[in-house]
Amino acid sequence: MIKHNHAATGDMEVAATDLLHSQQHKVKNALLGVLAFKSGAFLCQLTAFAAFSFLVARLLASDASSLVMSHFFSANTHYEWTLNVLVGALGSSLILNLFAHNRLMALQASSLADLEVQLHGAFKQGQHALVRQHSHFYWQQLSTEHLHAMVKFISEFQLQKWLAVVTPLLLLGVIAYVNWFVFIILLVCLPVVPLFMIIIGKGTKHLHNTYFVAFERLGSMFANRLSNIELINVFSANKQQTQRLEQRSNTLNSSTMKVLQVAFLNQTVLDFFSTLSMALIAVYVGFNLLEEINLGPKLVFADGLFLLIAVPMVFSELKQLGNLYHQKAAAQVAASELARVLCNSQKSTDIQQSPSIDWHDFQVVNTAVFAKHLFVEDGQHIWLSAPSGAGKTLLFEALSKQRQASHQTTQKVALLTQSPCILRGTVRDNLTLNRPISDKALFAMLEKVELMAWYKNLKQGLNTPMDECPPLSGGEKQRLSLARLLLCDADLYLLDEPTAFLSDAQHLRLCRLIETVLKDKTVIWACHKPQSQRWFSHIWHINELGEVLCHAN
Amino acid sequence: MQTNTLKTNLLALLLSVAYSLAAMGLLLVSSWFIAAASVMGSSLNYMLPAVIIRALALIRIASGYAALLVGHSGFFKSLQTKRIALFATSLHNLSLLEQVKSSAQVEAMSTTTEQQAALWIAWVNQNAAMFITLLLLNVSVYLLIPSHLIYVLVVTIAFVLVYALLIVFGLKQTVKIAKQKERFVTEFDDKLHSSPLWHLQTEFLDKHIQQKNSQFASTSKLLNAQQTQQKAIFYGQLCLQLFAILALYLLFKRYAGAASQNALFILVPMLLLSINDWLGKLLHSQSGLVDFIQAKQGDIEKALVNTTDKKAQQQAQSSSPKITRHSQAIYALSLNNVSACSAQRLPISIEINHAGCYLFEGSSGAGKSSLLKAIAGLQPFQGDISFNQQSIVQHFGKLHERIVYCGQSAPVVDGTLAENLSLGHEIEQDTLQQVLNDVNLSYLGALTQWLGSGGRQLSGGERQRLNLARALLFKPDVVLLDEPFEALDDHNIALMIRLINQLSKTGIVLIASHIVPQTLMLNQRIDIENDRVFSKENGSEEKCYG
Repeated sequence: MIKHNHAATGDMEVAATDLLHSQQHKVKNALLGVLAFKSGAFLCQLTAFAAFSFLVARLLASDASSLVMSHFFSANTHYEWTLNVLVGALGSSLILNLFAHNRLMALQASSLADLEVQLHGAFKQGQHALVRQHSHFYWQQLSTEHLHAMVKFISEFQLQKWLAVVTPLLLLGVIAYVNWFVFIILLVCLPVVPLFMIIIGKGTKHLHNTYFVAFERLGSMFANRLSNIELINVFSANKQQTQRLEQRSNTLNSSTMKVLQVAFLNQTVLDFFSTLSMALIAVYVGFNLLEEINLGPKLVFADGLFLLIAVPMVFSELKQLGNLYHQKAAAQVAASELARVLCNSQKSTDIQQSPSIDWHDFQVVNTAVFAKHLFVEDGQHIWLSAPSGAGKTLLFEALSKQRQASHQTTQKVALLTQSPCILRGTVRDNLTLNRPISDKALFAMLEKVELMAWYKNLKQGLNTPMDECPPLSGGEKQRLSLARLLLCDADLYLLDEPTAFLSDAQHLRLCRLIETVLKDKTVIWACHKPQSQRWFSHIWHINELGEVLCHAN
Repeated sequence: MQTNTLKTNLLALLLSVAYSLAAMGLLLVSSWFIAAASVMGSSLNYMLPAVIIRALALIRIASGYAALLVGHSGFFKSLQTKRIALFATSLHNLSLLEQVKSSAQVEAMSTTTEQQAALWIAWVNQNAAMFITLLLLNVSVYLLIPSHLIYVLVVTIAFVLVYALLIVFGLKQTVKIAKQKERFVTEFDDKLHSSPLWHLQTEFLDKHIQQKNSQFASTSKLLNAQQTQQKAIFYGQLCLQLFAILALYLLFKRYAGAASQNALFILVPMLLLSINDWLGKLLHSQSGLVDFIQAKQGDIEKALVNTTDKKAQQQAQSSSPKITRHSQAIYALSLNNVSACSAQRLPISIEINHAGCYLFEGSSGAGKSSLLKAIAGLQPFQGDISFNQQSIVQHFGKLHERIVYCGQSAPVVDGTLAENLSLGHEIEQDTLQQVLNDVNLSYLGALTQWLGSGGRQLSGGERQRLNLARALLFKPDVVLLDEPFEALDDHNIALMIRLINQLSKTGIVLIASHIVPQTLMLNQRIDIENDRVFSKENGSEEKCYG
């Protein structure tokens, strides 16, 4: 059993990774466009640096001495012209960045829309069978936080990853042109940075595992105690629980700080290299100009200044990547949640579709529920009896096409659930579900389900909002649901213990009503204690193995 | 605790200032050094600047790391203080009793405290450091090269203006984002609520056509609002850079052809060129302040007003909003025309004068639970509830130590098994073990077994029995059980009945349930939907008042 679970978790991780990959693939071209803009902006910036160093050199030079030499501009380049180059390059860098930013935002919007289409498709497919598996809060979080986290990851993080590779390479190329000595030093040092980051990452992970239990258990302590204040109050444990909360949060804080001590080193390594490179380049260039050291080629001032400004840029995009790193973890969590939802509702290809139900070797996908032969004829009344947890609801969901199964009917199926569902709108909305149905038909139906007495008290008739109506009892709510169901005029009616949450008196009344109004329909009715066994023509039973056994009554 | 936290935060601030100054110093001294090296040649004393440069680099690295650590330590400390304070007040706050049952509300309270605690780390430190740096920069430029001061001043003022505008805009936009989110949540919730009906709705029937206008609420507007916020910051940065470019252009234009030997001339151009690296990024931190202000304004209480039932709110305010406690023994209970929620159709009256088991019967959602809660003092109600022949009058928020209410959700707290039973009260281990045996939960293992998140998960039946075990442990006079048979199999129901029968020998047991097992020994059955009282005592059926 445990092994099986492991395999399932592994599959889910693969599915999550696949999902992220396919989403990334969809936006790849657009994102490459953004990268081109960003790289262009970077090159403009480098041009501006070159012009800037030259201008400063000219400003500081007493005469047209060797001071104003540069790898980029010859000594007799016009001052004004270089100034224009500087302003032009800085300006175009801004404009290119602006384009890149706007493209990225548009890309995020379209990527979000795409993910939403997938999620909504899953909703349409799985319907209530899917929705009931989680709380509304879960679905909210999935659609807001999780989807947005994925979008951020496949746009911002992916772009930054590329930038962290492309910009150092571009920069190294330019530096090689200016000064091969600095180039070689950087080439040797750069790979050390990821190495350090990997080591620190490993260390963090190890520490995190050490304190894993504390994080797992104490992380949600505040939320947990807060949501249980009623319990704490009932048992007068206010003082005790406040103390506990304080103790536990002390423990949690100290473990967190221990992990952070290592985790923050990551940022510090980048800081270390970018700071040190700047300091060392400054000293190297200064000493080279003073002719105190003679390593590498002879530098001129303008080139030295260029190196001083440009070299720290090698690390800046990498640093930004580090800042965005949390997006990766968030997206992975999000992707595995979404993948789980999408996996459940993937359409399998080998569904046998037929209007009539006369199925051999029927199996509900991913569940234990199966039947050697399922057979329903028009006008039959079938009593479905099963111990709780045997899979009644699963069978109904499969029959109503909300859950995948080996066979599917093309008939129109209507399912009545255990708890009644009352919509926020008017009485009419609740009955018609936005279909055009005449008032006369509605009145007839209300009469049929014995709700006319209730209806007559309504101030605005059919247009009374539900929340302004006098309160309905549990049985009345189910009767309203029944009316709605009948108005749909389905071919097959499924009743999933509609009286489960009713008191005994209400149970009896509703049973009697159902027997009357559904007399001429095809019905499968799951019920603990039916009113009259004689009403049913057939009995289906689900045994412990999940097998549906059918026989005549 | 408070002063300790403040000290930590101040230390972090100091370290941030050191970090910021060292970074700026490094940029300026380095560029000055190579300029001086080229201008002055061998007359320059190069040893001192070289040492200063390396020292600044080391200070920057060390203070950066320390600022991060100390800052976070301060953050966690103030988060703890804030949360414990909030928890302590919430414990006495009546209007929160219902609110905290929704995960969304608890999540909101967690985030609010987090945003408040994060003020230092997300805003104060960086901003104070940068403003000090900016000030020092202006002063030193004034002292060293007064003719360049104008350029630095222009950029400083531009920055302050952009920053102020962004904060104002950010505050407005955050409200918009919150509104968009609320709208989405309402629409989406409604849609999910109707999920049992989707298979009947025409727009869902055709699954093969991907309709362009999906019936589901989309978060695209929410994303749009968030992006507007990001764009504003980005445009702010652009604006600042434009000012810097302008200043740079004017500066270079002014000195065209007038070459000078002063190495200090390099400072201001360097600052202007790299403005986005040291100043522009700071604009992002405005969100820290905006979040803080938002969290302060929308403090829990205010946020609740919109969502809470208006009636309950009024009642909570008119009576004392604090929970009070009584410890007198209770032997009788009477309800007179009580109605505790709008779904309840008829007011209930009942007199209970001795120990036994009494049952409120009715469909789900008919108001049984509310009635129990009203008796426990956890819910506002209309009518009169009193104990011991009218000598104690009950009202909302008045809790009695001798009354135990076991909620329908059968809560499990994250903690050890022992803590789940005792809830922190000092109780002998043996007693706990005994109670566990009584409810047939001793197989769960040692009392140190961890339950809830990160530990063992309990099934529905186990939760119900744990719930009952707590009630047994505190030996109350009145036990209120909400749907104790819900989601239980026959075996577990039998076990529950045995325990309840035992409890009802010594005290008053009130049960709300739509399932009425045959073997449950009942003194009275009250059908709250059909205004009938079935009494087993005299075997007759009598009509209830009202």
